[in-house]
Amino acid sequence: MYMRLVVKYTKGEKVKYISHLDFMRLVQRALRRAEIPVAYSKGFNPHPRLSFASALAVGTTSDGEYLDIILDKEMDPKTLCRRMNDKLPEGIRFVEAVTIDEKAPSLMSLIERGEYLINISGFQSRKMDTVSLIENFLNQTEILTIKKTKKGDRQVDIRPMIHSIDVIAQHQDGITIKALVSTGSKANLRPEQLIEALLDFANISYNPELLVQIHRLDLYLFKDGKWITPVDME
Amino acid sequence: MDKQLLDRLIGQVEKPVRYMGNEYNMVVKDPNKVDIRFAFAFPDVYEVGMSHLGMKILYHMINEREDAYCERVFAPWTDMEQKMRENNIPLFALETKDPIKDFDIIGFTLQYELSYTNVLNILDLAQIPLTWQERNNNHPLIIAGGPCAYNVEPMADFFDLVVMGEGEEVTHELLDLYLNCKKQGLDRLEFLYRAAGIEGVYVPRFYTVEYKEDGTISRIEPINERVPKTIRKRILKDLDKAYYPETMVVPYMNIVHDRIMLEVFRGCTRGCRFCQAGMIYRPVRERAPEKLLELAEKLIKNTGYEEISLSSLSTGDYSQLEKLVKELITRFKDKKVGLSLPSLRLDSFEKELADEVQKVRKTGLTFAPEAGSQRLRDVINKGITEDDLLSSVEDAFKSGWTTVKLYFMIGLPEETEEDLKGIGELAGKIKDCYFDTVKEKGKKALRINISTSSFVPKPFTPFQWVAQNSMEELDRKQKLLQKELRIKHVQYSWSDSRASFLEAVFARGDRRLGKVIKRAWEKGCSFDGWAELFRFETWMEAFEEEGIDPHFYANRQREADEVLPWDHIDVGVTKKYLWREYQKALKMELTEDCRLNCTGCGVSLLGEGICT
Repeated sequence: MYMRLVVKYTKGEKVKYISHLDFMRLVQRALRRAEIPVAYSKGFNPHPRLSFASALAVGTTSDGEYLDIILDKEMDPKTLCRRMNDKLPEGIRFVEAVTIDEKAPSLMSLIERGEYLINISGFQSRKMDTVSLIENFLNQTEILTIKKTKKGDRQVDIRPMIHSIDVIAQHQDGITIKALVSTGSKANLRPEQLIEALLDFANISYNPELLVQIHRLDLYLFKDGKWITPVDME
Repeated sequence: MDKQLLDRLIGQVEKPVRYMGNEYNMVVKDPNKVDIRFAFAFPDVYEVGMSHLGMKILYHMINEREDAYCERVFAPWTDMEQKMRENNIPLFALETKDPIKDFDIIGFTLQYELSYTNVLNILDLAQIPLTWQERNNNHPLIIAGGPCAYNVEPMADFFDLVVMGEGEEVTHELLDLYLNCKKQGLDRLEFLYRAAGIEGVYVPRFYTVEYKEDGTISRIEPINERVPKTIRKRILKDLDKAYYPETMVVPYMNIVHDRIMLEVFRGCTRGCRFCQAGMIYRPVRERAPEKLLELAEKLIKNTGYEEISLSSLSTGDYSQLEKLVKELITRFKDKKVGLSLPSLRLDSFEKELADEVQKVRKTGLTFAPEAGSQRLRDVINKGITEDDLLSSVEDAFKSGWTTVKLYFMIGLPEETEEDLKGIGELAGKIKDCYFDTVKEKGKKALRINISTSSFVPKPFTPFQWVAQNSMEELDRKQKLLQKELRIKHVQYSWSDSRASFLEAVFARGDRRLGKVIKRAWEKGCSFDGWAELFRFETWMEAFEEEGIDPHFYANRQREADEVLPWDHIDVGVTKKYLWREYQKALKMELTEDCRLNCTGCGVSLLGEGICT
């Protein structure tokens, strides 16, 4: 008797430097502390049946992370969240959990979009109108960036992977924007790449004085003609 | 301190979690509500320091006190150090990120000699003067403990006081005294005089050392009658009653020993003559299996760790090992908690146990014959025969192991070329044994990993009088072994003889070496235990510039009646006994395990009923 759950969780300031690999181990240990009846894989070296929707870059915080877990006993999703929240380090919260069809494809293969809040500060605004800057940036038919690969540098057009950018705030030494971009196994745009292209467009050189804070707001998948978050899959 | 800037810098270095804190089970307190702020300093990087059991014990123990807050501090790696220096960020504790220069006490643990420059670097990064002469009442008290504290003379300039032996009781006594003196408004010097009255506390500045013309010591004397002539180490009488943490900080990153450590006993009765731990941690005191199972239960619940290891100097000697292992496996199998048994002595390794461990998780198989021939094993009193080794290995192969690790030492007293060749012969026999044992089963890839370390004579061992092999000699021996071990399936690795040389200098060093350590650090030495950062040439320049001959310490044979720099320290085991053992070594006479018969080492005088 297996039960499959999708959990939405957050990763805050205090834990933002934990790498993806370390984060997986952390969750496994928290599951043991919380005595969650996780199912284990069969075989010589059994591991907990747990997978993550999308890796989050080191240094990025998030309000919308998802993981997929299989239990071998039934458990109320609310109880699971409560018990985990008692045993997780400060900065990580299990916000919501829902049961989904055990046979549904992996979260990782379903996720297509990510929404980010990006704050860039540390440069003197040259009375630049950010709203029209973004407008002009998006009006380009293609945005070519250099992607470094093992086989050498490759040109990539990132324009099709940018779905929207909204200016949230303009302040003395920077801007805050909200961006919806492709995320996932089909197409993936890292927010860092977007920022680089945007700064390039605005003629601001990338330097260590620039303070860039990236916060993921949520992840989306496309189902029955609608963009929904993984916990809406229930 | 600008904590936002610090947070940014952490994001710019390699492995930021080293500096982040906020791990599960990290102790959080309001620093304003405690009387003592204590920084436990481990002079190496986070992942090494966090693997140290002593720190786990003392961290949680001090934090059980309402009047004290113990935080952790490690040596920042070079990238972080550079950022901190560029931005004038003083070294901080992981818990609060407060600068440790504002703390009451900084306690270092000295685990190996090659971490000494890191102690200086930590003090400097913390913006604290290095020597006690330069510090005043307003600076934190700088203290130390750990195995190297038993001969702390080379570091005598840098510490206010040093604790000899096990820290569980004496730490509380020291903290109580500190608080008392603070309340009464007594100064640093008066505190130190009172501290010197606590058994196990050594205040180096209260002793003078006089030297002879040949450079050896003529006498070590207390400066006045307020301090004791000798300092006796501290031991706990009953481990079941001693403090042991029921929780441990769970790191985010992969640390060296990333598992629950259950300390099954302290001390060792084997009496290997090269082994300092075997002498200084005497006598043997075991924890009861019931107590250990109770601790295991709580630690799994509180940490969520997936693995437990049994730790001690010789876990195979634990009198109730079988019972404990079986019980641990049965109780925690369902929770998928594995068990690893490190540093197994091959003569106590039993096939049945090997199978039990395998049920849960297969860990590497490690043996430490230490020497390649029976003759030399008799010299060092490692009472293991080739037959013991081969039959253990055979059992392991039968149970499915394919990788075997073997540790040896080179440069042992009385070693000849034959003994070295014996290592090669043993490797060949193990290989043959494998193919004889598993020929029917379809061959998996066999790996025999052989590694040699270079023998470093240590204080408080029967070999404390012995000259270390010269570096050239050690290099020659390593070359010979490279040739001897050119065998299929066998891999040979060896340690840098120059690092072993430096270790030998400081292990048996005296106070005159303090200025060399300082000089080497000023010239840029730190992380000397890390091959990629070890600067041997710089060290040699430092010796040269300070007019000190390092060979005097490493490569000189001592006379029986020489006053040794650590003669005023009493570890229980007597100098007379150690000399007797040395003489027996030269005659290849074995000394039996003292669980069987008392061998008269002297440690029984430390207390009644603890040495049985």
